[in-house]
Amino acid sequence: MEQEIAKIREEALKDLSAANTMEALQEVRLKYLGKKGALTRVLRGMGGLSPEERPRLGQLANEVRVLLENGIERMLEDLSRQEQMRQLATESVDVTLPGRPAPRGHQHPLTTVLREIERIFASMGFEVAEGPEVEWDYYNFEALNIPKGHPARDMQDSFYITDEMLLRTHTSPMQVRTMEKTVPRLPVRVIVPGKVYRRDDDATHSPMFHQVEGLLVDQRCTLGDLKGVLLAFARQMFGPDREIRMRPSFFPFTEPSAEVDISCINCGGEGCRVCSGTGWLEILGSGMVHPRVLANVGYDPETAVGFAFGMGVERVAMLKYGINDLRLFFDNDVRFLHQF
Amino acid sequence: MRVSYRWLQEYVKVDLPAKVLADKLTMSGLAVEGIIEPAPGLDGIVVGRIVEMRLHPNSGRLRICRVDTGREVVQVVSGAPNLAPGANVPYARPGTVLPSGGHDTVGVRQILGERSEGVLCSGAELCTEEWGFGDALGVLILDPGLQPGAGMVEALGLHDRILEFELTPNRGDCLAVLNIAREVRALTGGGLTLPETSVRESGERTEGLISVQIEEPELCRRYACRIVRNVKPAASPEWLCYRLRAAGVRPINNIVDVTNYVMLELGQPLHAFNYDRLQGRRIIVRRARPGEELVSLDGDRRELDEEMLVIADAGEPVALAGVMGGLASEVTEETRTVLLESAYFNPQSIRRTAQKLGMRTESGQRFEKGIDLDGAVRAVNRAAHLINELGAGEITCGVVDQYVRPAAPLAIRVRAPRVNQVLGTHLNRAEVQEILCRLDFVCELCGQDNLLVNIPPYRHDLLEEIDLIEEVARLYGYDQIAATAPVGALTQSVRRPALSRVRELTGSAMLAAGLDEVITYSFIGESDLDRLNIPGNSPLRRVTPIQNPLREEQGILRPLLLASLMEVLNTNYKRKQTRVGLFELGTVFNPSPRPALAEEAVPGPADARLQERGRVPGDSGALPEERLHLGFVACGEVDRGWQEPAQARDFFYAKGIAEQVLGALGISGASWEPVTGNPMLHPGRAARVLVAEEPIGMVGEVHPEVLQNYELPTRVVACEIDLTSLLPMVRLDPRAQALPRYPGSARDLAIIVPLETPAGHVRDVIMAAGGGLLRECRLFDVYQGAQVPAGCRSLGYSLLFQSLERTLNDEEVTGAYDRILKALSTQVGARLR
Repeated sequence: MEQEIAKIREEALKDLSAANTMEALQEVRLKYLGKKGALTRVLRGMGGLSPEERPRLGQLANEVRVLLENGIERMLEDLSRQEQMRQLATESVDVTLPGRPAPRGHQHPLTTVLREIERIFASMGFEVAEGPEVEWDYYNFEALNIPKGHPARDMQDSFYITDEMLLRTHTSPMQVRTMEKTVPRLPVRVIVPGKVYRRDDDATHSPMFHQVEGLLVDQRCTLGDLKGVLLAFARQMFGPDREIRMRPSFFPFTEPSAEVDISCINCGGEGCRVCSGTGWLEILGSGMVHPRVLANVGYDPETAVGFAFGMGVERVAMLKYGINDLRLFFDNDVRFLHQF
Repeated sequence: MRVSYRWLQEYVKVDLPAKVLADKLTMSGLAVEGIIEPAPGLDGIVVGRIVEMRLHPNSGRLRICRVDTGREVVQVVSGAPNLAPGANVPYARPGTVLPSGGHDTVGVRQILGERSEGVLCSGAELCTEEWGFGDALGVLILDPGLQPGAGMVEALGLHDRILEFELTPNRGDCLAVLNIAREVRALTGGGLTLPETSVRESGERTEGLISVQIEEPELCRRYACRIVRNVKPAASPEWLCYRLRAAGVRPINNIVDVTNYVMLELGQPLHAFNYDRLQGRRIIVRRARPGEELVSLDGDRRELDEEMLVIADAGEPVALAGVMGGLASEVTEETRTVLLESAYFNPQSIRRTAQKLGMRTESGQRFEKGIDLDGAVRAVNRAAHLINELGAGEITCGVVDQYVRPAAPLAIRVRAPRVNQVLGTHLNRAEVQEILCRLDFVCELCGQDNLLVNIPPYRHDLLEEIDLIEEVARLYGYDQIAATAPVGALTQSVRRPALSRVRELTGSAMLAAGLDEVITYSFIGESDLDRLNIPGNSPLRRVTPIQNPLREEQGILRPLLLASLMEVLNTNYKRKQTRVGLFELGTVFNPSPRPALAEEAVPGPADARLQERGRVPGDSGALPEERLHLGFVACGEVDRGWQEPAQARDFFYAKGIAEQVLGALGISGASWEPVTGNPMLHPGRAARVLVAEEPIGMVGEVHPEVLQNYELPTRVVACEIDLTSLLPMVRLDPRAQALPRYPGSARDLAIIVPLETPAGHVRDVIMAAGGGLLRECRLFDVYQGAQVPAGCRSLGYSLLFQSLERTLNDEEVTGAYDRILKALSTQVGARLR
């Protein structure tokens, strides 16, 4: 019997290694381990052995059984893996073909820049407020220290609706509206994004454009603070290497007033075509809120001090994205929009 | 304002390079926009003296000159007709490029067999004609006193730079070279020299020759004049002409030039009248009378009105005060006696007159900004002094000076702590004083930390303390002020306005749907509404017109976005961009429905104040109503790549996007009503959107007639939603719901209903009958054709029944399902397919 077991073992291993399909493997299993299988038969015949021999031969036969079972199992795994690989191979695709298009709209670059400006100032504690685009002459001019007949009105040619009502020429009227709502409380920290309108239409002027106004009024607030806030803005918007420069200027509703330049984003200040060789790019107007404007809305200018600034969003976007023609923004050619 | 640097140096000691000075001025608030070199490219061109001249042997026209160039004597052949032995002329050496000459280099040439080394130049070749030097007809003949070899720029007195100022409106005082010199002095510390004003007088007393009467003392606070006898009109000397030209003023004759020169120098406009043309030896400053006219110096006949201030003689107006003189009393070659006027006119009055007549003059500009009331006599004396110097006439004795409203001296208190409070500096009183003294302001101490500053009469921009704080800041230097971070409490931070959040959510939803954002002008034309077929009686025709539009197509504020969107789509389509989806989030305007009285909205504080002051006219008592709209348009197919066919942009495409937007805003339960009567939209493919019974927008395919108006050969879908009216229904912060813990039971339902039964109604019936157990009802199939009777269609729904409390048993589900069937059968005549 011992020889028989050895023979079964030998033959079974041979059959096993020869089996290369699922079916063949099943046959091997049946042939040796099935109900009428060779090994099964041997195991059944154990009853006729002497009690001395039974444990030894029993163990021997069992070893062969385990060997066979494991072998079949391993082969099965191999085969099914091979089968899967064959299957996957038939499913392969040309990965260089384009993907199925997922819808993706393009945000207008001005919106993107507006949101970015809002985010930067929000992080500095400024709230966002919006005001009417059609304004009273009072808010647009008079409350801002620009009475009728003031030469500064020449700087901003306006679209009138009636003699007292016009399309706002700047976002500054919201300075007054916001302060009116807040007075006598402090502080006021607000930015006002929005559309503004001036009667100008040429290569460098659009009759409608966008501004962001900023206003901070508090018990303590200085020109140095204005500089600090604008420097932080310039660096977040245009990169950490930016410097700013303030030049004295004139706006009727701020005093002292300043034009603010950033170091050229193209040459870094060396002087190039973008900055007309000056090394600086003008980006906004600003200043300390004029005491008369504060008094107009009911603050005591001795105890409430503020700064205000206003920037052209188109200008910022043109600098940031290297756009050289203002008219592209309102032409809305999709080939332009798709670049953003 | 353009100023010759050399002229400036006459008043202030400064020798910085022009660029450095320009930067200093710019950084102190006087922006220098440009530095002009009057005659560039004259290097290498020198004074040459013709020492000998003979005819060219081979030409009747050319001459051979021997020219002393300072270094040597050279031979030059020239064809100029005005050559003369002994004359000084510009000589360009070989190797020079003439300013007019492009890239050609002057060389040594053989001209008809004679050697010619270099060229003799005309004014045209040197580009010096604009400075009054030469022409194209012959060589430029130079001053015989010049030494051969001298540089041409110096020889012509053009070794200068012209500073081009871009002045802010508050600095009218700097329309005077002298006052710019004061600024230069404040920045550089150089000493200041005032112009000489001594006058040599002779002959009669001036007051015997003229009487001045001011009828309008508020409009003319002062009128001073002098009379010049035996006038000898002639061209002005070169230095004077140059300075005028550098400032952009054309030289005319010595008398007129002197008045312009003094205006540029001191900022006081002067006017010269032909005295002999003044009737009755009288000057009357009065308002024009109705119907009066004046032919001004430019030859135009001007109709005057009573708002306008004129200078009149005994009979009629002879000048528009401060704006322009009259042609009849112009100073010409024949003029023998001149009256020089130096007056102060009211800025607003001058501004009104100039605007009304559309006349912007150098003189008017200065009066508008305010001039030095105290300087009138000094200015007329300065002019007299120059006339003396030029020998242009004899000055009679004395000034006639009617000074009816004298200037009140102004002193302003400046507190050093206040300076620091505003600027963030740490200046003490002495430092503040030092800075203000650079401008020669006289300061007196006034308490421990304060100064009393006397304001010179030419600085009309300095009225209160803050103005002086600005002076301190700009002279101290903005770049010296340290950047700091604001300190203080945070705002009582209100949340962002709901509307701006709605705008952002909507924008994101549109981008996710694959549409591109556009931004268009808020103004459109009536013709745009015509093109959209908007009928004349539509509420959309009640628009807000602009009084002074740039063009008719931009004449009204838009009542809807679709007009602009169609235009953009059209432009893109015509540029062969045929698959386009565009959206805009923008304001539309409705004229305020009722006058202020019936206004429900609470007027803002200023609105009330305005009404109090009577500033708001009754017929326009409220601002137009501004509403935030979403609009989108699309045409062409949606590209689905190479695997799937492109998807048409039809009604359901647009409705799907609209649903997406409502979903993003947390709005459920919108209903859709067919719209058949809107001439803008396809009568069978358009819907009105209602939320809580409130119409909030429309969606549909654009009417073919409208497409024809645009000549668009493609189907276009459009949608416009009023986000402002949606606002109360928007749910920006959803409440979280527990997830179901018990399994649901899915059933499919296919029914046949008559075609005219709207699917929306079927759904309503299912939802109502399904009750609380019906959790989902999704339409997955709409079918018409074989197996469905004509006039009917089959609708397939997938239903989900589910309870939050327990697992539903079969009976409950079947019960609900049967109830739905029954309701469908009785209410819409549906039967199971």
